[in-house]
Amino acid sequence: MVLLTGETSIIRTMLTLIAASKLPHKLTIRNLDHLQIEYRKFLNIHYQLGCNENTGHPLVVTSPERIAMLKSKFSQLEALDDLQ
Amino acid sequence: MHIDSTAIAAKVNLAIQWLQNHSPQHFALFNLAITDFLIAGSSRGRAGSVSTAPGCIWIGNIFKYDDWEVAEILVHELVHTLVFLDENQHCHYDYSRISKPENYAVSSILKMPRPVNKVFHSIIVATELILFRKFVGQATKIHRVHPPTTDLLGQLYTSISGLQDLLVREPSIITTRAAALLAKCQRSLMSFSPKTKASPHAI
Repeated sequence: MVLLTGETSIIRTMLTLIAASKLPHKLTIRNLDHLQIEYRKFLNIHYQLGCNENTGHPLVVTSPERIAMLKSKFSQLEALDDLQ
Repeated sequence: MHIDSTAIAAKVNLAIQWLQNHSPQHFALFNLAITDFLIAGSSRGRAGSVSTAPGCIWIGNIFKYDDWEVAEILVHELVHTLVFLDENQHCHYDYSRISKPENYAVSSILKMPRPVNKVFHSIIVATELILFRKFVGQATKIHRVHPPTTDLLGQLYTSISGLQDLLVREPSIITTRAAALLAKCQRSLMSFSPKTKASPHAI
């Protein structure tokens, strides 16, 4: 992938993003699981997404509160103002 | 528009399995960067991503598509999330100018004039889709979601050329970082087809 190679590597970006975030502790990336946990913390801090901060594969959102919150965000897309 | 969320979720899982079987690298990155699926019906569109919720993909009614085409949808949306994250860290645009109609260029995916940020995303999505197809061997199938690869190549060339023309007139409308990503896409385009004409302007 274009985004995965060289100086524009997305992993490099993710690490920089997470390191620059307001996490309460000094970051040391030991493995991908650790990166995933820190990445999810980053998303929750910066975007208030309320996502699961454990490791694992992506999940279908089921909680009514998160569905409403995400539908609100997605309704900003002009083609998606009629999400049911 | 009502959809069967359980059936759509099962369809997405089959596509993820397809991705795992055909490109473990894409699968690993997908599992890392994507956290949630929002399944909801809409009369317009099949899937989407927004800059305010990177990591989350909206999935609409994708039930009629084969697993490999749903996998393409997932890769498409993965790229949006990655570009949003990169933009968050590095800044890609002069936001005061990207939405002015006189600065529109043609999208590689939708084939219509769109703001610079949308065109920039479309160029990276198109590049990644072509690379993905080359990797998993889907270039010659009948495509219903995205254009066939030959069309996508032409549209990618048009979008990159259009954005380059705009950069001659508005050189600082994208940042150095965004220009570096654009240059990578251009190099990929040249590698896809040796006969592709050199673009008129260096990025």
